[in-house]
Amino acid sequence: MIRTILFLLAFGWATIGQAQDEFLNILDEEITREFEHLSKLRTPVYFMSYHVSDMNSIVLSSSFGNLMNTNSDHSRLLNIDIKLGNYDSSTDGKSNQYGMRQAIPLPITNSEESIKQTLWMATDIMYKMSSASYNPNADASDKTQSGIQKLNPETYYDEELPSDIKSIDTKEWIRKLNELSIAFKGNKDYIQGDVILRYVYGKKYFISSEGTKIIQNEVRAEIQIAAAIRSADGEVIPLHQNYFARIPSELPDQELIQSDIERMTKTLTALQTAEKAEPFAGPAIFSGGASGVFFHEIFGHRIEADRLSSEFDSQTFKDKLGERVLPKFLQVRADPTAKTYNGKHMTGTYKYDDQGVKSKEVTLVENGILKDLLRSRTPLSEGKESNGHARAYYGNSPVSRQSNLIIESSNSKSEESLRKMLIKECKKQDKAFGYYIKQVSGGYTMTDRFRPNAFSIAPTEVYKIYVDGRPDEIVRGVDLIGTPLTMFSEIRATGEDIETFFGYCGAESGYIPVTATSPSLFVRKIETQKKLESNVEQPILEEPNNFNK
Amino acid sequence: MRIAYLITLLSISITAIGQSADTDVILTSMKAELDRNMKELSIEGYEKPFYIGYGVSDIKTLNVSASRGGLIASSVDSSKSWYARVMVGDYTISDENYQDQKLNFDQEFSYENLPLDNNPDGIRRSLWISTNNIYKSAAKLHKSKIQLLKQNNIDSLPLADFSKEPVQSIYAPKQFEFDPLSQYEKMIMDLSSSLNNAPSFRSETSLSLLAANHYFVNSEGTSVVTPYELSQLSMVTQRLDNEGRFVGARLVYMNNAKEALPEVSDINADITRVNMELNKQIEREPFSDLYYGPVLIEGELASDFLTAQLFGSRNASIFPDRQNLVNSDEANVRSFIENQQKQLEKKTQKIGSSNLNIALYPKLDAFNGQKLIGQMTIDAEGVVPPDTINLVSNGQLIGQLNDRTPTTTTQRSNGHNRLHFNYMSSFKNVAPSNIAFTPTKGQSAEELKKNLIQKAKDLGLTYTLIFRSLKLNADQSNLYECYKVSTETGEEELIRIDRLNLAGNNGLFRISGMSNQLEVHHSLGYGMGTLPMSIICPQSILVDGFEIGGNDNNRQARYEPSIPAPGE
Repeated sequence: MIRTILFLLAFGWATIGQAQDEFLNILDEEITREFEHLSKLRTPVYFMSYHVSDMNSIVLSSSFGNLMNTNSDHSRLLNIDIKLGNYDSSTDGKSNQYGMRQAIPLPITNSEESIKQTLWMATDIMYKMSSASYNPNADASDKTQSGIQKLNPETYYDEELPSDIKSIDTKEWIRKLNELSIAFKGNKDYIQGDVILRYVYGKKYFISSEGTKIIQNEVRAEIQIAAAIRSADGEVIPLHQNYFARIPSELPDQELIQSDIERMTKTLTALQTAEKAEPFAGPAIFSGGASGVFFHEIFGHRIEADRLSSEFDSQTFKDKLGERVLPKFLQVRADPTAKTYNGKHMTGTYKYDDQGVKSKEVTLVENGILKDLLRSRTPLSEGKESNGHARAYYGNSPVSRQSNLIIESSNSKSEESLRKMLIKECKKQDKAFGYYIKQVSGGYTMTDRFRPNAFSIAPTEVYKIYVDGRPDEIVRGVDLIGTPLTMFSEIRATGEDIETFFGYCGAESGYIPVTATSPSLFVRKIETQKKLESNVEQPILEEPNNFNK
Repeated sequence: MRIAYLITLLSISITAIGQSADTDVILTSMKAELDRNMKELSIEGYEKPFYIGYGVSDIKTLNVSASRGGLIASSVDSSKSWYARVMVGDYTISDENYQDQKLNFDQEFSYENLPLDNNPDGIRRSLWISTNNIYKSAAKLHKSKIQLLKQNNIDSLPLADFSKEPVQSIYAPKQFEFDPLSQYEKMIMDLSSSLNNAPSFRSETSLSLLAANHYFVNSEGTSVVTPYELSQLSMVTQRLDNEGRFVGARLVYMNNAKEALPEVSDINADITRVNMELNKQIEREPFSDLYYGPVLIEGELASDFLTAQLFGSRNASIFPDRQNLVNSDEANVRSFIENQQKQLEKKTQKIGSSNLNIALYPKLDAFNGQKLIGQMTIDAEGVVPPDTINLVSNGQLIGQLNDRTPTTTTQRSNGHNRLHFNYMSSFKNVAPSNIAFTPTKGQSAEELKKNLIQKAKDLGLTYTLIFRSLKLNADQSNLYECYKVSTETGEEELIRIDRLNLAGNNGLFRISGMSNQLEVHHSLGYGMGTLPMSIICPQSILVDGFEIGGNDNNRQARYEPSIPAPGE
């Protein structure tokens, strides 16, 4: 059971505080001093910022009832952004493409001399890298030379995190994790049975030469269950389940996770002997979670504006603002301000993005019409300002990325209606069955022009829904593939149920937490292919269980 | 001078309080899984394993680093690192030392680490899967190898695949606890502040402590539990001279005991000296000439030269290089066997000056009252090394380092499959312990300098060079002084040479004189991780045909800050 009531208390922290943050003052003094010099050089800097993730992380990992790893870490990782030229025409040196940019560790104690020295050295090196690739005479059409949007200074300080959330009862958590992961023990066909707790808490600092100063808290707890079983023919069949909350005490109770693990082991046992799916083209229903991944991959990545400026990108939606891109009954929005949705903690939430821009809800699609894109401070077209979606993992330059993607529908059908629609469509297409895609582990998409503009989604739990009324049948080895525009045109209806997929999205600026919330979806035609096969033989001897007994 | 550095053989006899070999969970789990697999593991149509060995390292580490008084990182971690060896066949022909690219091995699942919580089922589970996977591969390889030999009517190979060694039994675990982390944090932050009394571009002070109990069992009956300890304190500082050239210093204090760190006053004395020397170095004009001739190398540099020449490449002659039999056509198989036979009958070659002798003293814990950190009692394959291993006599190679894989020069192990650690994992490879380079006939310092000048004169040089390592409390440093010596007057003038390349071809043959005074130096650099080794060597060596300057002068990177440093 998720203790939702605690959310209200917890989010009350977001008040003004930390104005006397010693570390921020050191950053402020040094960026002011450095900008003073750099802005007067022959190749002047017109903008610079420090982004520091001051984070603590705790990871406890259990496998088959055994404690495998305990790790706790405190780090301060610096990312420097330097822009040369002016707001109309600039460069960041494109240093990312040579792999020169990386997170720079700063001292974790507030030693002024040590911190300033590291900031100075890193900034000096970054300036040299940037100026080496800066071309002040570049043609105006050179996309790499576009400037960034100018902003008025902004100040925001989250209140100091309460001390009671800065630690966990490690012993108790190890006990819980071991009790959970032991469920996978005793069957020699299980080749993975992990239960992992990850807890991250700390502050993110942003300070710029424009005078913006932001301190925002970041707190995130996660339990990940990863299990895999071997089928008789040696295929490795994985299933995953994740739980997210703000702090560990808000994660689901052990009993709920235990019952999910029981369901997972039953599903894995069923998958172990399930029929291998053949390539298929026909109707399908996606669960809400699977639909979330579907939209994240085929839609979300194509409305990230920074990528659309590249002539090598497919630019699927670059010139589609104001045009119909999805069925009329669908609305899509990105909401990094959403703390919860249907009582669930959203992990793609932040107050300010990684360029110091205040986050806001963005309506992306209204009645199927494309209304906006996800934008950073790099203008895609004149007059368009950032809508607070520049994000990056430590050490990467922020670019426009997704946050909490929310798909809503004005054409919701009951589960029974969706099944009826699917069966009717199967008959029309002369198919004996359609698919119900219940769970997926993730996916990927290509948006460049060098490769097919396609996507792939990896379902982990798929059922055949038979036209002749036979019970649903679980199958294995399905990979969902396709191209975006065709898939959009095949969406016919949505369900009443709404589900959120939680995950980490990896793109140009690294892995960041995102969510995708969607109702279930009925699609007239999907295409699947066979999954890459593995061949792991069964061990010769039995698992050495109950050694003590 | 230093705290408690004489923890060596004595510690081996200490058994952990309240625990015996019978109740040790790790050891009993390893033995139980080993016995079960030896008895039950088999695949129809393939031979059973004849040898199984497990090694488990139960590791604790403490790491702290700081710069200019600010703490960069601080952690205490635990892990279990392990390895397994499963062999099929027998000691003469096993699955090892053989390649068959036609064989496809299954995509097997493997475990990275054993559980931290000493759960017997968890320990056995990891060993079970690993043994299973290795056995399957070994069984297939062995069958293929036997078939290949049979097809080519070959009954035996000139060289056996695995050496028989005496069974060993040692149970000497230690209980390890580190002092509170905060204590080390303060010490390292304070030292890092002291290091920066002069302006520097970059500096870092770091401490790394490691304590481990290593468990080894094999199907021959060997059972060994021994402690491993290592402490390492490093200080690095880098500055810029007026021309933007980097000058820097690296000091390392090391010991094969967990917390045997030097006195802070000794480190601070080194820091004062380093700051002074770097300041002086920055003021001097760098050497811009090209010198080719004899040089005299003194102190730690002599040790660095000798080890760089001997260990610079795995092809160096004290390391065996056994070739694998490859599943191929008859001509290649026959050629392989003939070549192995020839190598067995081949006389050893000369590898250096006739005045040079090299030997290993693995069990020695001190020399002339100085600690030796390469001391070892047993290797990672459960083999006890002899007291002395002679490798080179009067420049002639007479022995090699070896483990249980026989080679053309050495068919028995001399106990040098060494265990070492890198961060949270253990590794093992053939590596030296305490190594001694000694002259058959040593010379006095005066004789060496006289010979240096005479050799330079004979080449028509007006000056020659002497490189002297600075004498510090640190066990390792890169600081040295270079003197230009007039061949007319013998007067020495201090100059600045920033780059000194000690590698190069045939360096051991170019030694034309060695001091009769022996010194001890230390290194952690050999191998993949931190492998403690002590080097006993002449205080100074005279080397012919040394090249200094030239292109090296132009290679040095320069850096001119665009922003003044803080506080400037």
